[in-house]
Amino acid sequence: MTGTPSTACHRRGRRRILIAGGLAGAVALAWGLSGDPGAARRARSDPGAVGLLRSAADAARRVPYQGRRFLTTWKGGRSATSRVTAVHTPGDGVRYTSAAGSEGYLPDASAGDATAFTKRTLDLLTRNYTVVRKRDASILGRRACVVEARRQDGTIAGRFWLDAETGLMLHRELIDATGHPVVTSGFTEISFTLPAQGGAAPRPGRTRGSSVDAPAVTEAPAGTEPESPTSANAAPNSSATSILEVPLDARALDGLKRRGWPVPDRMPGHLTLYDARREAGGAVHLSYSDGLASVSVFVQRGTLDTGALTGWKKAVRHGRTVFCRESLRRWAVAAADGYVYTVVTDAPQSTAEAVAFELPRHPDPFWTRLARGARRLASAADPFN
Amino acid sequence: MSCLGERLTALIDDELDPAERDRVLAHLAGCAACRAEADELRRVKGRLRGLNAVPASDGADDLPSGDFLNRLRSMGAAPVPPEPPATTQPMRPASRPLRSSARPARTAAPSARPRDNRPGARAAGLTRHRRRYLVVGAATLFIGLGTASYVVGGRQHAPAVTPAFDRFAVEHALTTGDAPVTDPLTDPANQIKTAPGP
Repeated sequence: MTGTPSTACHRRGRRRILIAGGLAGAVALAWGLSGDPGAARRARSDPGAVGLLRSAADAARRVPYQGRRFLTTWKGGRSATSRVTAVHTPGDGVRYTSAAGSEGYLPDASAGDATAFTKRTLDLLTRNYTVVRKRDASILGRRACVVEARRQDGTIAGRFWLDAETGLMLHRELIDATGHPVVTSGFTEISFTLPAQGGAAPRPGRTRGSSVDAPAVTEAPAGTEPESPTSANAAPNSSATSILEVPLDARALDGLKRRGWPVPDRMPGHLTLYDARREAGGAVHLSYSDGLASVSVFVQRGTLDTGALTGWKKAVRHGRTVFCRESLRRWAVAAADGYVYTVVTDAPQSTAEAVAFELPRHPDPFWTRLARGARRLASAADPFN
Repeated sequence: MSCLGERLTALIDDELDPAERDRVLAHLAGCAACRAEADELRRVKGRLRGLNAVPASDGADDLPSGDFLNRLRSMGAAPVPPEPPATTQPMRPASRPLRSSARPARTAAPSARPRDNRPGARAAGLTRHRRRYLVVGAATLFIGLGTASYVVGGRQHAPAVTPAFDRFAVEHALTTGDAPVTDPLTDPANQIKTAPGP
């Protein structure tokens, strides 16, 4: 015999305690191992270097300048460059003029974004990379503080040149794992003299210093309608584009999710949702970043009109078709479950494609679909309809 | 026939008055033939009485019982399950007639039987079947309509859209800090300068 009931009971109790203790230990171990991997890395990041990046956002609002900016993206051994003239007036914003004459405007309220670092993206940067200060260097004839972001394996992922005097970011480059540049942007020439006042008249209909950080309008007459979606190959001067994005807070995002909109919080490659806006055309603009590379996902209701995508490369994977195209930026367009996704990024094309393929399949909730079908059946069977 | 005729039978049946009875008995003393006939008659009568005494009859057993007839009728209508032995009063003496053997058990649920005394099994079965058909029909209708709705509701009648690439390019640039100008992809005049890399 094994024993009396009381000893069996004791044994069972002891086993339970052992199991509970084991579980608690396992949970504690898992928590300890996986807790917040960024915390350790943050500790290794140089606070001074992180501070420099943080102050660059402030400098972008505070420092008046005029100069020429460029954006170069690299694909294999080839590069594509876009150049603009930029004029910043503190309290107003930055006005851009491209070589073709199209103009853009970025108000000061969102100028913090112009350094590519907000508090949120800086947090992501220190979470995913190690930020260190390097020896000062000279760029554009000015002394600059150099900050590097390194991957876990020690390779350099990004490098920033910050003006030692004003704190403004002068140059930025992102580097892939093989050491080749992916995106380079910054000034080719800069002057810190105040620009002529004539070119900096406040825009009509816009509140200066507004707390709404989204509105960014091009040099378009007030009230101009946004261009039709078919303007992909439209007039060369697309300055008649009016843009007004409304930021979506967490509550609005939750509402969208409840209504079935696909709003994933994470994307492959440590890309994390850090900003969401509703853009003028009704699309939801989701911004993802790992701290360095930025990916924008525009989600629209509807089905994709593939007629406008002639010349795009078509890729099919896991039953999903993605249209890809590389230009200055990398584009990927996919459609699923009544939504059209447009992915645009400065990061390599593989990132855009990976994001497009990873976008959630979001079939309608069962009851929504059932109710819609019942309504259709009822309307089809209705003799008075 | 004897010399005494009817009077001999009356003597056997003890129906003669005493004077007549004496005269008949006197005759029997002298007539051997009549004596023999009287013995024969007495034997026959005794035998008949003995036959009559064997069944303790009250006359009712001569007809089949109502229960028996009922069972006969129901045999033609539907098979009746064998009566459980518990209902047949196991303590009943074996010599008792079978009358009303299962009666109490059969009448235990009188409501289940129709009033016309027809067997109840068939009507109950029909009701059960009808109910089952109703349930199966309703379920089929429900599932069919649900499936049809699900299938029909599959595709949204969403409008075909073309992404506004030029606007998206500017809006992307706004969040990444680059100059918010349209991507050359959407602006053929703003040709990108492509150069071989380092």
